[in-house]
Amino acid sequence: MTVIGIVGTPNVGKSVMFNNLTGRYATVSNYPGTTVEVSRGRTRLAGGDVEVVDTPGMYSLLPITDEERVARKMLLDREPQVVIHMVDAKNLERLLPQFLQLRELGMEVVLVLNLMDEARKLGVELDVPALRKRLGVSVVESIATSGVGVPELKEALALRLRTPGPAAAPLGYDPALEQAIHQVSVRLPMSFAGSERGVALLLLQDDAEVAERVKAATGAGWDEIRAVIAQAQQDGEPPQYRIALARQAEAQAIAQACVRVPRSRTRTFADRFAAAAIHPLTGAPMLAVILYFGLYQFVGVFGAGKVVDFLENDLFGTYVTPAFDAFLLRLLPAADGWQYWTRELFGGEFGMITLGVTYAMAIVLPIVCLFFLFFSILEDSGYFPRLALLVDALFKRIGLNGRAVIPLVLGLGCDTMATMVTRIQETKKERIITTLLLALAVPCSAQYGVITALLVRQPNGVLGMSYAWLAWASILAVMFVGVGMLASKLVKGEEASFYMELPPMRLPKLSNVVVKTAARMKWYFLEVLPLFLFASLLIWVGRLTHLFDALIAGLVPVVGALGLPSGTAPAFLYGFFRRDFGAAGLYSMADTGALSGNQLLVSCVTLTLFLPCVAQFLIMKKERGLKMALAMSGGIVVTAFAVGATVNAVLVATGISL
Amino acid sequence: MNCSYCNADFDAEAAKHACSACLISTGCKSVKCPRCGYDSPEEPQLFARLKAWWGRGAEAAAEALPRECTLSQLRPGESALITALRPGSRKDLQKLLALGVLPGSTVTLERNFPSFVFRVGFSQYATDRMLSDAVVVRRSVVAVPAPAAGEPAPLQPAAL
Repeated sequence: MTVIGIVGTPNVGKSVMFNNLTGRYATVSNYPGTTVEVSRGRTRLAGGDVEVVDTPGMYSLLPITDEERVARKMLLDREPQVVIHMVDAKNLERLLPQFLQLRELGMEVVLVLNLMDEARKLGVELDVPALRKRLGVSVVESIATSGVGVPELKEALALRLRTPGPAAAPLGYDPALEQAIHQVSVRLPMSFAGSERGVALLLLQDDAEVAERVKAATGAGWDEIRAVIAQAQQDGEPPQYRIALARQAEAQAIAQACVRVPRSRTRTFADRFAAAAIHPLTGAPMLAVILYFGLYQFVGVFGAGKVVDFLENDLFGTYVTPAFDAFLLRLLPAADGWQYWTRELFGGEFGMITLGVTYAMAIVLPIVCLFFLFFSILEDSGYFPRLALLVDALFKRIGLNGRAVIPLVLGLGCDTMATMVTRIQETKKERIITTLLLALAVPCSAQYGVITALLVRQPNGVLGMSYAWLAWASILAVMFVGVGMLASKLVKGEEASFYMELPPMRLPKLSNVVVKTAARMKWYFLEVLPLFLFASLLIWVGRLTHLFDALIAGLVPVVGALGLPSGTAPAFLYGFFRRDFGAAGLYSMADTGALSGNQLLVSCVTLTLFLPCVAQFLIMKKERGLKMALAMSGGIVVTAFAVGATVNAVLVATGISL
Repeated sequence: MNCSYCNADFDAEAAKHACSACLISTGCKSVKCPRCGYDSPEEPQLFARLKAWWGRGAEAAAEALPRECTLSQLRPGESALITALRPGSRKDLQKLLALGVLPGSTVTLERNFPSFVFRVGFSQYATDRMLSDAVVVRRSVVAVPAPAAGEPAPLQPAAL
């Protein structure tokens, strides 16, 4: 099938355009690095079915992070007939080098000047006919978010699919480089994606991945190519630098002829707000306000407290569960034997419907939904890159850099999802440390919400936060920083320097926020609901075979060492399946007043430090390998109990009662 | 800095050569005045940072700064022409090239704490000190034409 690829730097509206072309949804965001995977969709063009492929943003065809590698791999593997190169119209000059690169690779390109509304507002004038003539490709002006330019783009694509455009006039480099390009390209095998000149240029820029591909395709001839590359690398400045300069000079020449940029710039309210967000004096209080109202009040107190209380006690507790149990009892009335056990499988205290579905729908769903809503609003506003630069210096202390805020904040929603997002990090060391911190010290929203709702009910406190909650949050913060610092010393490997583009801040768009929240919810539910049902099923099997009683009996001395009543042992056992599952168990216990403030704190701390859930372990295994996943999980379980015991010992020794 | 004995103004970095006459050459936490040889105590880092915070130290430092310096040394709000890149590693070079931070462009430093925030064209970027140190700039009001293709501006490879 005919393939059309969409490429461009992050944040230029690729995903929105993909949506316009195919009617399918790809995650749209105001944060570089949220499209970690390629989205595919279909459309009809020039009388045939066409596959459209959206890619993660990339700054250059020489990839730095894994997501950029994904985008480049699409170009080389799928060999799209036409590439839609999306650029931010106001930044055309800076983005032209990437266009030149695509053309050098022999790609058929349609250039889309997106965000024309912003460019006009800033007074940037573009001479589109002149650009078309100079670049030799179709150029389309668009405002992807409101669909302007989409018909024109479809027309341009159809034209290119029918008749190929003229080949790119090659950009000239310095004589030594030209000679090297010639020497490499004559030795390249015929059957390779991309033009020989383009591939030769990538090779000369020390591209390890393309080198692997060419090596596999050429066999014996590779040694000669390698010698040319090595020679070029030693001659004066590195080729990638010389190439970048030549491309930039060309881009400047094109821009001088076709683009008029105003001298002065007006400062909008959004600019001022963005400036305040990164000023250390105003940025830190802003962050505190966002966290307090967003996470604590909105997700914790409102979501996990009020909404869950209504759903669990009023809706499910009063109507759904009793009605369902009564229905089961009418169907299978016997008090023991198979009828009792079948009833217990679906209903009763631990049934798949009464426990599994209730937990999922009444406790986890509202909390996770509110968290993803909060996250999507922040994401769409462009706040996260600002947060990244604020914390970069602090994160360097734990072996990470500012870019780690995305997986770590997303982890407050779902650690499993966040562990997948560690792919946006550059080095192995960073990915290992982030994975460990996510699994140990970052509570996911379901768990965080339930625990907040539990602890916030304790009577003593300040600013609406109980001392028990503050103690819990402080212990987690200490563990986060402490384990992070330790890991940064112990884990071998490189750390990466921090660089990030700051997209302009904007008012979040309701449609973006809703669609993003919905997409994350869908992912979460497909992942989570089966696990809840599975856990209920396992509990049922365990009770049927009396295996659970044995396990719980084994756990009683362990929870005893933490100063907890034996009734918490089942909660810990369920905590192995999902941390929030266990936390929800504590919630039911606390409802009956079976736990003191101190006991609540100890059990919440221990449960939070646990591995989040079975799914988390599976993803850790997938991303980091079985050996590391096992080592991390073992360490985490031991740490969780050790910290719980320590907290208990300190509380006992000091005589504090929360 | 300023000698507390003879009141001479001198650059603490440049005055290090005066230390060669001294027996304790390192780790003494004092700076020898190159004019009179008096040992003044070194300015504590915290104090220097506080001064920079209020802008006084920064202004004084900026005046003493040569026209050629690194992006990280610019005053917030100051624009300069990028003249060369001095990255510590190939990866760092690649990052700067990917962002379009190249000789011939004009850069405006907007913040230098807690990270370095600067603007090139209509784009705003944030980097850490390491990457900002790698960008050599010339502080100037007149725009200098970009180097022509074929004769690249100097790259000063430190560890390439």
